[in-house]
Amino acid sequence: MASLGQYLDAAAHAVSVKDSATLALLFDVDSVHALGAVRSALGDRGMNVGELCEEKVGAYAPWDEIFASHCQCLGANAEGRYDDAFVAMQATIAAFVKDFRAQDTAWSLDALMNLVRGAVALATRADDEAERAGRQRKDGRLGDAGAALMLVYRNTANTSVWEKKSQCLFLVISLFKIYFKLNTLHLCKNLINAVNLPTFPTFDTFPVAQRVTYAFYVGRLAVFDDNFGVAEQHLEYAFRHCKSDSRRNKALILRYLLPVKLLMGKMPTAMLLQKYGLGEYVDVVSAMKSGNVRMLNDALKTHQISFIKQGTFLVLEKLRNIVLRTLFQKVHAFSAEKNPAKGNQVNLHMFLAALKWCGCDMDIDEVEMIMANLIFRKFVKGYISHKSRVVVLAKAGAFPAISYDDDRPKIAYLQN
Amino acid sequence: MTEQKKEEKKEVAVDLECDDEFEEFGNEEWGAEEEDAEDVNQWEEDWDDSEKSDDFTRQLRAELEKFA
Repeated sequence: MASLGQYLDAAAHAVSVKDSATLALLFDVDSVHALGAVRSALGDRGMNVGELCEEKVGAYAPWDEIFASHCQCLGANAEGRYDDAFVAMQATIAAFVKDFRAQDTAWSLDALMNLVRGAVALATRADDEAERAGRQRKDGRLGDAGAALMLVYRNTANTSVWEKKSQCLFLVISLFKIYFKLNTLHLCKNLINAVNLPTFPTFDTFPVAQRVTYAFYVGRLAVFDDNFGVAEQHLEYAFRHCKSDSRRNKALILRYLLPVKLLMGKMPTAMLLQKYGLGEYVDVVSAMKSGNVRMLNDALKTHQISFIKQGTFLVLEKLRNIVLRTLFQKVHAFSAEKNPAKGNQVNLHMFLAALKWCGCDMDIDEVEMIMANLIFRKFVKGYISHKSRVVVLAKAGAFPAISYDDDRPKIAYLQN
Repeated sequence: MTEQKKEEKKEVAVDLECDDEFEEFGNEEWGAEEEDAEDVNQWEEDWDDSEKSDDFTRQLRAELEKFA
């Protein structure tokens, strides 16, 4: 497409025959055709873009206005003025949505989604530009993009035209990505509630790429909320259905799925750790299996910074109880062998000796507290005789299988 | 492991560190044959075996002998 005039002729034609695919292409902010057309116009100082839009597209109001602000956006983008481009994009979206809302079909939906993609891309560029120039604003243009996306979302979700809803999950995911970047995670809650409403299209009707991405973000949120049953189901779904050649996404999912699985007492195979380069977990897993408290402490310390950055450190800290339980179980096995007559009792001083040997500097009162905690959290069944500093274990099932929220109902939309 | 593979792996790790945003997939739809069936069921639940004897357990028992 050589000139802006030709670009606008194509626009008028697409609008007149409701050609969804062409319209979407025309609103792709980084399309080489659109940029080429705008570049040729930028050299022509005498050209009045507003007038040209009216001349070419005026018969299809309000599309003349929509294209006029879109041309401004394209021009600014071509010249690398990303903040101006974003501001023009906001105006384009507002005008577009006004028309979209009045339509009783969804023919222009693909074009609107390209505007959404463009808004996020331009906001990111504008914020990067501002950061380089030392002009940082709180939430920046990405925050403004979030508001624009929310406007689009409302007009695709709250409508009686069912086809308009087909991009709802794409919009929800796009908003998740923005909220994660801005660290405004509380804003995700309302969206999740909306997805679970009966007025939202069935989960299975969305493309698998969107389902996997949605499950990943909901799973991550659940990890932050200590909602591990929900986290496991979502992350496992994402991991299972992720495209196998998207190694980076698979590794990202595993980064959150793995700590949750460990917390539920499920150990990854060596093959899984190796396949996804999760070497930092080798010692954690080994410590859990053997009850080696020292090894766990060392592993957490060595990789502390990367675990904190990943947001999994606090979850991994919770693994200590499981390792303590395994260690105690071994002390019990030894004690029962030595003194079969008192096979269901363990002297707390013996557990203390084991802990000290593992490098835990503590006294007998602290050991009793650890033991009380293990019993309270149902890792061990029994009671403590404080007077004699002895743990009396239940005759049967003293070490229940580790589970975490496992009695929660299965989430229906993740069952396929 | 070849040098090239090592390089690739390093790249993924560094990448994950500074950016945790999910990548766009190249396409929207794929079938089960493009999912990695090998990755399902890579979790062991029967590791919890107090009878198991590893180095750590042997050393622990030797230590507890002193206590007894």
